[in-house]
Amino acid sequence: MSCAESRSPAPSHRFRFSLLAAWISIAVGLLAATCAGAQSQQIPEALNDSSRTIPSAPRVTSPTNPSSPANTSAARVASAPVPPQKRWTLHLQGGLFAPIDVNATSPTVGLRFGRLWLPHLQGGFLTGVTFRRKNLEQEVGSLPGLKPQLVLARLDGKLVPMMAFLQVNLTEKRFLVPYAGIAAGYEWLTATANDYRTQQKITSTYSNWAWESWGGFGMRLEKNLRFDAEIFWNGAKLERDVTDSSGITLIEAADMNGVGARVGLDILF
Amino acid sequence: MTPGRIWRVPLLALCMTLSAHVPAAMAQGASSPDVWSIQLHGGQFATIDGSGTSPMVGMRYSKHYSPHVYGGMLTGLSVMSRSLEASSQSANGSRVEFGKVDARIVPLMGFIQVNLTDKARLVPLIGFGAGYEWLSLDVKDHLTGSSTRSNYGNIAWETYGGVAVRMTAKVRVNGELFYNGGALERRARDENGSTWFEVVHVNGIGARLGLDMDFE
Repeated sequence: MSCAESRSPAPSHRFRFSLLAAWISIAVGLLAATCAGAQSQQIPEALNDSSRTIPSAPRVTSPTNPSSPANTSAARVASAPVPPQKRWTLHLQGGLFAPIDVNATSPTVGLRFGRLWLPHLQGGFLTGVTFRRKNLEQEVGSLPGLKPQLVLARLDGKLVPMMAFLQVNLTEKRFLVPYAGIAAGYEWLTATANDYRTQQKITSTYSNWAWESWGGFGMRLEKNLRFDAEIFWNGAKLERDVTDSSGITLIEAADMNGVGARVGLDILF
Repeated sequence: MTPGRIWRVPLLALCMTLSAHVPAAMAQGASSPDVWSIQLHGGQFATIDGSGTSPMVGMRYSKHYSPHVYGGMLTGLSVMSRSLEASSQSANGSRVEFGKVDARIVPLMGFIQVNLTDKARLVPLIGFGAGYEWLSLDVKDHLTGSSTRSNYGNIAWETYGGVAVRMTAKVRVNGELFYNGGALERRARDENGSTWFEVVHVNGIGARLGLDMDFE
């Protein structure tokens, strides 16, 4: 993370546009989830399929005698609410991420919200937060056991991706489900440096297009629940504009390429 | 919204999604409508920065959202006592204590636990908790007669994994390894009036054994 620049940047047009796009994505996603939740409450339990296959719509034969009991029941089936043909998935995950340029791991949490377009294919959007905190410390006294440290300076970093993704589940029948996915979108890094010795605080925001890919195995616990373990790769070179004292605009970059591992729950609803 | 607060956007989305849809989605797969459990455990915990292990006790209180997924609250207490000692001049080999540090760590976290099977007698399990953690540090200096108490706190997390042995339909014995992660802080003011952060790292690993009991 290179963030030694002391200027306080004004949000650029690109940043504002990205932020607007992020808000719209979240609003659409939550609205879709709300609709899906409302629909799922109307679906009778019998129609709630026990597998991840797409239920086919009931067929009604052409009536020969409209008053016959068979046709009456057929008409009742035809007028019954048709279950939605596609289902929603929510993947909640947590793990560790290690950028190649930073020799340390950072905790990460996130979610993938998507729709099962085909029995093997799902797509949607993902987001998350990766935290990183690094202190410059000085030991206080020489106590045995736990050792309090005085924080002289601190760097906080937060990495936030907002991406669209596609994921392929390689089987829908077995207990172990291998899967792989790829995502592309935008990523932001906010770095805040505090020097408590000089009372200086610097905040820098980097952003750029980014991508992510992952692969792993899911363990099918229940009909609507899977426990997933995966490794992932994040690819990004996040940038910000910096104007120096002579008025020349330079680009400062932070390399966020790195590998991570995470576990999560995949919930189908 | 300032650029520094942009990370709150996905966090807000995560909270809204969790509160609105996860309980409903989990309930679709629940086989039992309202099953709860309490786990009482005890073991040893060793911080990476500290010296040696310390005893710990704790509990997890959880709702069974399905036979595989539990969620609830956990808490506990780790007690750590260390002395600053030196050999005395006497012939019996006794030691003189110059100072003593007593520490108590108390976590309070929400957690989610996944049981990887509900059919076998041995149940592998994995869990993750996040919440707040407090540390109370009592320092006694016998040379000067002074005694101070400092309280630290911060957001912390815990992860654990282990195996449960099903004893009866409602009782299990759990053996777990766990990792606790946290940098607990307090504000300290120096003689010039400047405020500094003082931090104690409580990252460490431990092992514990517990009794997990279901009730409805």
